[in-house]
Order: sequence, then C-alpha cells, then structure tokens
Amino acid sequence: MLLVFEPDLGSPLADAIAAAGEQRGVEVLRWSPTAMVESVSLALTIDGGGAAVRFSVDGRAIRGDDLDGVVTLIDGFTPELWPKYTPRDREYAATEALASWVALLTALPCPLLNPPAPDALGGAVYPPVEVSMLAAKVGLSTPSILYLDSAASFRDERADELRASACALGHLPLAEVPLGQAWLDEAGSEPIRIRGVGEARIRAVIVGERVLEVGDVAPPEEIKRALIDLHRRIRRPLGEVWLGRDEDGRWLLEDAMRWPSAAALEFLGERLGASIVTACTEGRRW
Amino acid sequence: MVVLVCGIPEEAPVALAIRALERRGADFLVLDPDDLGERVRVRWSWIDDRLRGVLAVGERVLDIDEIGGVYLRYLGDLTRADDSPRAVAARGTALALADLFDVLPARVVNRRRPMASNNSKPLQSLMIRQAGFLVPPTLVTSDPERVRTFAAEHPSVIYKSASSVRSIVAPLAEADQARLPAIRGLVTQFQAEIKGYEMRVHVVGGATFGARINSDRTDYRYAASQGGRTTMQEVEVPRPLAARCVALARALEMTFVGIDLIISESGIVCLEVNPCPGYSYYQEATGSPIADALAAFLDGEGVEPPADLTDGPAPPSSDRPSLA
Repeated sequence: MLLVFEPDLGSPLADAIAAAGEQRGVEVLRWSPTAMVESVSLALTIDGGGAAVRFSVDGRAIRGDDLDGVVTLIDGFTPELWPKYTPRDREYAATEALASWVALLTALPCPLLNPPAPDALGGAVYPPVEVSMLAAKVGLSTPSILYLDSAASFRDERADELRASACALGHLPLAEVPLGQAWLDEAGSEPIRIRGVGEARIRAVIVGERVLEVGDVAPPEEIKRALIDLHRRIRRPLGEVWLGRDEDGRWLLEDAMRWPSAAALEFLGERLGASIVTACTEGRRW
Repeated sequence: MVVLVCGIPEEAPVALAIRALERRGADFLVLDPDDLGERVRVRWSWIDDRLRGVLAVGERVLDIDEIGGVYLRYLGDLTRADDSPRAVAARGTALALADLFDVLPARVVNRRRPMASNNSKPLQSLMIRQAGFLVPPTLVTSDPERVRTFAAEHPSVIYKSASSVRSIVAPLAEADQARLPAIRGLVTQFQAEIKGYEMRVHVVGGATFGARINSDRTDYRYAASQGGRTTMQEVEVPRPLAARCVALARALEMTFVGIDLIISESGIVCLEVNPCPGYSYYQEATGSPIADALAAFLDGEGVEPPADLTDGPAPPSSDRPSLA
C-alpha cells in the first residue's frame, strides 16, 4: 500500500502514481491536507520498544508497517484549515500539525519520497550555495553565486561600481554579464546567480537510483552517477534537476528541485508514476 | 581569527558571552540586529568551488576567511512586515549572513539546519533515542480514546507542544478528560511524567556543565509565576554521562546545546535538546563558567566542531537504541 500526500485531491502527479499503482495491484491512498486534518485519526507512540505509527480513516485502521512507501507532495498546513479557531490558534494548530506529521513520517519504516525535514514535510530546502558545496563534493560544477547584503545599499550606486565590488570578490567573467538597471533592480535579498550558461540543457528527474531524462539531451553516465550521489547526500530520492553548459563545455548544475515539474510529468508520462511506485516497493530508504 | 557575536548586546546570554570574550582578550565584533542595515555590509560569492567575501562592520573590514567563530544567537525577525529602507537593508544583510553561516568553514554556534530539529519535539525524541538515551513514553495523537488508554497505562501524564512554540508543560488532570474530544482536529503530544530530579547539561564543544534543578512545579521555568519555587545547584556531570551528552550534541550536528534530563530510578531520561540555550539563567544560578567556555570555543580552543558541512543529515532510524 502506498500513501500519497497531495496539495489537492486530483493533482496530476498523484494521478500518475495512482494509475501506476493500479496497474501493479498496489493500493494507493491519497490524502490532502484537509483530509489529514479532518478525516485522519493518527497516533505516534515512542517508547522503549521503538516507535509505532497508526492511522484510522473512515473506520479503517492502518499501521505504519502496512505501508510500502510514502510520497509527499506537500510541505505543511495552512492556518485556514482550522476556520473555527482564532487567528492566533490557527497559526499554532498549523505549526503543531507540521511538527507532529514530520515525526510521524520519520518514524515510518518504509521508503519516503522525500524524507521530511523538521520544517517541511516534502523534504529539506537547501540554499543554493549549500547545494553548490555538496555538488562540488560529488564532482558536479555549479554556476557562480554572488550574495549582496541588500539591493537598498546599492540602489544609489552606479552599475560599474557594483561590477567593481563583485570583481573584487574574484569573479573575473563578471564583466561579460550584463549589469543593467534591471539587474540592479532584481538585486534583492535573494542570492544572485551569475549563470554564464549556454542554451544546451539537460533536464532530468531523479527517482531513487534512477535518472529519467526529460527532453532530447541525455546526461553522460558520470553526471548521472553524480546526480544520484548528490541526491543521496541531501536525502532527496525524488527531484528534478537542470544542467546547462558553459562556454568551456562543462555541464553546470543550475537547479535542483524537490518535485518533478508539470513539464517533466507531461514528457515522461506513465514512466514517472511507474518509477515512483517501483522506488517505493523496492523498499530502500534514503 | 575574529569571533562574530550575532544578537542583542543587552540580552543576558549575549551580554555574558561578550564579557567573556573581553576577559580573554579575544578579537570579536558584535552584530546587533538593530543596526545590521546601517553598520554591517556583506558581499560574498561561491565561484569556482570556493567561498570568498568581505564583511564590513562599522569601520572594520574583514575577509570572511578571518572569521573563526560565530555565536549565532539572533539576527532579527526576518519575517517582520516592514518596508522601510532601514528594515529592508537589515533583512537583506541578515539573510546574506544567515546563508553564509550555513556554509562558512568556522565554528558556528549553531548552524540553522541542525537547530531546526527542535521545531519538532517528537522528531527530536526519535533522534535522541537513536543516540542511545531513554526518552519519556510519548504519544502524539488526534484520537481521544488513545489518550485515555495512554493515561491509564501511566501514573501521571503531561501534555506540551510538539513544535518549538513555547508552551507551559501541564499535567493531564481528571478535569481535562472532558476536553479531550477537542484534539480530534488538533494533534497533540502527551508524555508519561517521569519522576526524579531534573538536570540541565550544557555542552560547549567537548565541555559539559551540569545544573541540578529542584522545583515544586511540573515546569520549573514557570514555578515563580505559579506560586512555586525553583532552586539550582552546580553538579559535576559524571564522565560517562558527559561523554554521552557530547555525543548526542554531535549526533545532532551542534556544538553548543542545553540538554534537559531527568535522573529517575529507572535511568537517565532525556527530555529535549535546546539548540539555542538561554544559558545565562543557569549560569547566574549555579556560577558555572558556561560563557567562558563558549568564548573559548568560539575563539578556537578545545575540540574541533564535528563537521564543516554535512554530507547530508543522518536519518533517525526506528531501530532499538542501546540503553547504556
């Protein structure tokens, strides 16, 4: 039995997983946050004997051991799920629900796509630079990243002054990056990526130990191995990556997302749902 | 090397740390959230697999390679809705610093990701258990009937928040039974109350400081406001327990934590690990030199931190822990 948490009942990726499960005779339960709050009764016990999870929904009892895998396509709960509470209590309820479900999912013995992080049911969100550092450890290059403290501190400066400060940090190719007013206006508190990457692009979905290419450009074998290694390190068995090619012909990891995009699902079709069901039923935990 | 102290200088844990750094003559800078936007500038980059950057605090300009330690107590409320130029600038600086401290090869006390384990108390219980400590029998549920069964199995049960939202730990009283149906839409954490005395162990790098707590209330932090009394005394942490506490902090990828223990007849039970301890409360009551140890650790003394960057967090397993 698989359990899929989806933002709303009927989400396309959950549909694909359910269809793949049906073809293989694997039951797929689908719960939205509304159902998790209103219809599911749950219990997590932790004691000297270990941890145990039990659900009850519509009079049906489900033990954690009954599950072959869990696919989590949500991050948490919105306060609006508790309309009868005061605004302050709604926030509290959403925070408590997240904290409880994070522990509950972690205690399950089955594969989790993806394992939850303390603040996100769908898995950890890494700052770009942390992904870059971990990528470097597995031999993947990444685009350069420049952090500025704030756009406000630069708004009154001229673009060439900004260019000079960035060059002072050692980024030599920066002169090739157009630093117009639009770029300056974008320079908020978010990190700025200096891509320097051409059009050729690999897009791929990672499902456990498999790399499914999305589009015509296939990742080289060493890139595939590195991508799987990276996803193992960040405990993200389900994700989508984009790689671009720089002027030297190197593949650079441009983006690593936690869930396959709609475009990836459209391209991969049934293969994606089938791969997710396989990754769950193989029983491997990440 | 330079130590950065991020926090409100007047707040007791920060003030004690500053005084301790002064006493040892350390080279340090205070990054006050109130003037981050005006007095602090940071620009840094990840280029060709290398971190580089510059931090300016007032007139002082540092290469980020010069930063040896960071006491990351508070960088300001990053979620506050304030669009004034000063607030926007402060938020931008705080975010750039926070991202930098996630990856900076320095003694950062503590990094954001490991600290997040405290956002889910039952998750932390699973991790504590995996590290070999006993944890209180715990039930997280939205089923009133299970609570009744749990309460019948244990002489005394308390309830408290599952998240890091601070709540007053309260005993589940007979009168609460009538309110139990309210948990149907709101999953709640219950624990068997463990009888014994409470102990707070602060771990700083490889050093430990123990405080025995005597209180006549369930939640000793609120004893005074509830008409009760709490006293503390410094205690030496026995070597095997100290080693286990240091190992627990390392398992959680942190170097400065406050571990709440109950010394019971059946063993040492760990309630939780505080990732950003308000140690001043304990230092002032016991005289333990926690701030000095913190200052020394930030200034490069003692054991090295466990890792500069994770190779991915270790998952808690549901295996039975070894109960030493």
